[in-house]
Amino acid sequence: MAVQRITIVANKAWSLLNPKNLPRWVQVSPHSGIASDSEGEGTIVNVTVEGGYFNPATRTATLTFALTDDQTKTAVVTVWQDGAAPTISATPSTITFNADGGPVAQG
Amino acid sequence: MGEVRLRVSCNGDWSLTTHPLPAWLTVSPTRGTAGDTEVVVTCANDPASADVTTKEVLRFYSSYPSGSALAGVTVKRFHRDAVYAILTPRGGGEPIIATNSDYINIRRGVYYRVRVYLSYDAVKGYTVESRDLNMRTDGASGNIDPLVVGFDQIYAATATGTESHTLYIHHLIPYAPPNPLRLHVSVD
Repeated sequence: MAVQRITIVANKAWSLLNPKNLPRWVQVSPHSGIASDSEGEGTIVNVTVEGGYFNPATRTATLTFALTDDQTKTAVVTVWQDGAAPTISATPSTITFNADGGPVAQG
Repeated sequence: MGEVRLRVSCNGDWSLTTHPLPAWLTVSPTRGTAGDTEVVVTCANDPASADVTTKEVLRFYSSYPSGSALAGVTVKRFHRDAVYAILTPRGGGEPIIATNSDYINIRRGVYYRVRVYLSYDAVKGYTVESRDLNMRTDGASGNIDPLVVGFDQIYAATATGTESHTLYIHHLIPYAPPNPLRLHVSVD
């Protein structure tokens, strides 16, 4: 698991659109926040991504944050995870058959 | 006809890239996804292709922009008159399958049970095991053989150093060539 932080700055309450539609490998917390203070300090949002060992292919997810009372006002963040290097093994490494096609007994 | 099951383990999609396969060999499935996949390798009873011992390498391949990975499995099929030995380590471990003039390596301090087989007996129609064995190694001194410890058992006892021996395995299989198997054995 790896966590990166993003900061949401808004002058009104905001929320993450469609959080239930996020892929399972991405978690976002919190899903909503209030207006930033007068000094423009935003809300820190943690984006957690699970390990991608079983995903050699690159994968992406889109996080869309919108004002609660006007969902046409949005900020979009793309989460990008590089694919893991593929690994493969096959066992046993050698198999042997007899001339008639029967496997060689190995016991 | 016989089959052997392999396990292909991959963290992504993979496919068998060895093709075409010889007529006597089938593999299923030829592609898979992340995780462990059981692959069945089937060898047909194909007399037309049984005159020579054949080797085929199955290549299982996974490729992504992040890289690629390859795993190989060697499939060996003995010819119909082949005589071979199986040396099975007592206590577990991979058996060693060897034919005449092969170089093999055994582990020090491990007993190996030795069996000899004829790959295919044209009269009986199936694989035949030797009824008797008589083994000896080069350099045997009197009754003290550096490797042979029983009629069907070898053992490397010395504590240190690398050893190499020539192991002669006389066998008794009706209709099989009477020549002993000669194996080059190293110990480490």
